[in-house]
This record gives sequence, C-alpha cells and structure tokens, in this order.
Amino acid sequence: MWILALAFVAALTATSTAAATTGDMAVVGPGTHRPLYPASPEAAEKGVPVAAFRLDRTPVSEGDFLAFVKKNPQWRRDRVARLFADQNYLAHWAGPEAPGGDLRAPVTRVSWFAAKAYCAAQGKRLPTEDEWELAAAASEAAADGRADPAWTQRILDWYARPNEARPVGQGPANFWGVRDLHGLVWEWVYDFNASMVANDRDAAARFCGAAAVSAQDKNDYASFMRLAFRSSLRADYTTANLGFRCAADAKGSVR
Amino acid sequence: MNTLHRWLTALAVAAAPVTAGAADPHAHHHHGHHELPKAAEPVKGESLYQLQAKLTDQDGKTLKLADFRGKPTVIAMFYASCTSVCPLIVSDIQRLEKAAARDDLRIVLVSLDGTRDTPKALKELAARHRLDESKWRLTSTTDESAQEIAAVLGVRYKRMPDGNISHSALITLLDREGVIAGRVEGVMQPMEDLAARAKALAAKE
Repeated sequence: MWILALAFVAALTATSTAAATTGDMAVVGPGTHRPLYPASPEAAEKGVPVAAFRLDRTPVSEGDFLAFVKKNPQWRRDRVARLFADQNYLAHWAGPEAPGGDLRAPVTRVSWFAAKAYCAAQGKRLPTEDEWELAAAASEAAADGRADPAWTQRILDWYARPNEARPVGQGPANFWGVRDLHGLVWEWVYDFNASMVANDRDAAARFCGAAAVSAQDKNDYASFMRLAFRSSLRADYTTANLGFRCAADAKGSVR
Repeated sequence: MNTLHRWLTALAVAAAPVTAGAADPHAHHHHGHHELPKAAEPVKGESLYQLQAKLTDQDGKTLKLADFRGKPTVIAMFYASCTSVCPLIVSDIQRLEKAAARDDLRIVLVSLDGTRDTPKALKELAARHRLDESKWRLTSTTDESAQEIAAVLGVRYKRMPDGNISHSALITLLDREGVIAGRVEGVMQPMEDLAARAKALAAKE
C-alpha cells in the first residue's frame, strides 16, 4: 500500500514540477501591447489593450502533432489537400505517421491551416498577433521586459543563430509562466496576414490606409524581424523553423 | 460545426468519388444522386471550393464558393464602406468583365466586414456601381470564414480602430474547378492579360 502511496506522491510531484507538460496553459494578461506599427495615434500613445487569455506554456511538440494526425488522417502529409499545406508539409518526418526524430521537439513544417485545425481539435484556437506579442514581451522577471537591454539582446542573439532542435519546455518560464516564445521556433498567429511591411514601395497603392502606418520604435528590431517574417508568410507555407502553440479565451470570458 | 465542416471537406477530398456527393450536405436538397454530373467528381486539392464558408449575398440568399463551380469566376475581397481602394477594385473588375466579354463569367466579392455589410448595404452598393447582378454576387460571411478566404487568396488585412480595414487589393481568377488561374495585385492595373486568361478558361469545356 505504501508503495502505491509513494508512487502517487511521486506522480503528483512530477506533475507540479513538470512545467513543460505540453498542452498545459497559463493565463496571460490582461495587458497592453505596444505594436511596432500602431494602427492609430491613440494606439501609438496608449497601446492596444489585450484581454486576459490562456496560452499553451510550450509550443506543440512533434509527439502532440503525431497524435493529431493519427486521429485526423486528412492531415497526414500524403492526404492533406494542397490548398491547405504546401509540398514541404511534415517533409522531415520519416513517414506519414512517423516523425522519426525526438517526439519532444517542437513540430515544424506545418501550415497555418494545419495549426488552426490542430488547435480547433483541442477546443482551442491560435493566439492573435496582439496576444502572442503581449506574452512574448515578458521577460522572466517582468510583464514587459523590453526595457531590459540584456533580455532584448538574448532574443536578437537567437535570431542570429542557426536553429537547434531541442525539446519544448526547456527554456525559462517568463513572467506569465510561458516558455520558448523566443529561442526555439517561430510561431504562427491567427492573424498572421495582418502584418504588412509598410515601407514597401507600392504599399500606398496596394493597401487602404497604408499612409497611417508608421513605426513606433524602430529600435525594437526583434519585433520588426517577427513582423517582417509574418508578412512574408502565406497560409499554406511550411518551413523548418516555424511551429505554433494554441490559445484559448480566459475561462468565463466572452469574446 | 467547424470541425464537422473540416471533416466533410476532408472526406470529399480524400474519399472516393462515390462519397463526394454524399459529403455535400446540400446536394440532397436540390437533386438526387442520379443527376450529379460535375459534383460527383471530388474537387481538386488546390481548389478553393473545398472551403465551406457560408456566404450571404445581396439578395439575402445563402451560398457557398463551390456554387460557382463550372464557371470561370473572379473573386476579390472588399467592404462596402471603404471609400478609397474598394471602388477602384470594383471598377477594375468591371473593366475585366468588359474585356473578357463572356456571359458565363461570374464575379464574387467577399466582404471583410461581415457585421456592417448586410444584404441591404450590399444591394445598395451593387446599384450604385450599376453592377450586372446576373453575374455579380456581393457577399458577406463570418469573421473566421473571411479570414480563411483571405488566407487562401493571399489577401492581407488589418482592422483599424476607426472602423476602416486596411487590406491588400487583389483580384483573383478561378478556373471552373476553383483553382487559381491568375491574379492582379494593386488597383488600376492593366486587365487585358487576366481577361485573356478568363476567355481561354471559358472556352474550355
């Protein structure tokens, strides 16, 4: 009997210390996101209010995605409709239902449609860009770490480094208890196609209201890199360093 | 509902032609299995007609993108209260319509502003631009469906706090099967090339 009890205690301890359990969510916000390109003078001055929401503590892992593909075979790489994912979708896997590598690594080479479908299958959704950026602005110590040059430099150092494959959840937890927002993979957001690089030569001709768009803080180079990256994406694109995590509304809130 | 739609879509794509007709929940209402000439063929993997978005047109009728199957179709995103780029998109498509000179060409505009673009607002817009409503469907849908359609077309957009929606101007031509056959980015661009493609598509049976 005491062996059972001991096992139970061990299991409990494991659960409480394993902050990296995939699918586990943290509450983020409420807070104010300061966008790089504010949509209005008011947004530039006050920032964009973001309601409290829940966010996966880690990116979705290869193992998580494998389980999803097994349950939803229309998302196997040999069955997926080309409209929803390009030809490199899960191309690094050994087989349609075999990642081959470390199951704890973040899943990559997934399209926006695939990421959206995965989250919907969990009763979740993709985070919006504002939500993701609010969560990602936090350092380990503060909700807004961007005033800390050392923290900002660490992010930029990662952007300059080649991608290294390591399991999700090993990065430090930030202020909200969320890990790996920086330093592991780029991540899809729901409204990835809201990002427009406004210094585009033809922007005035191609976008309504493009003239209203101007950079808030050109020194925030990390934000600019993410913006530029998102503005280069298409919904069927898959790349070796682009993964995702899911979000959900805060319990009891109405969206 | 979304999951169900996705599942049905996947079934229509992945399964054999026999089940494709059954996967279309609307098929039964209109006609029996015996008269499903084109719909019995599953849509291609690249086809936009896999999207299950429900659109409401200027007459208040519900339709799906797949309802345009069989005809060359021009699709663009807009919103009725847009006063800068959107009227230009409409007049660009009118130039395309004229140059293509095909009775079977269909044009579908999908609103990015489903809340404000009621059938009444869309009907007024159609009248204001003197659109040939036997060809033009001005539609609105849910935010999520608009996002999916924008995603497959490559339309980028952002809601502004003042109620405007900043969006890229993109006119896309779909072939009879809903596969992208050409596009023009920007406004006031030459339409001859896209018109020629529309003509070529329409000529094929």
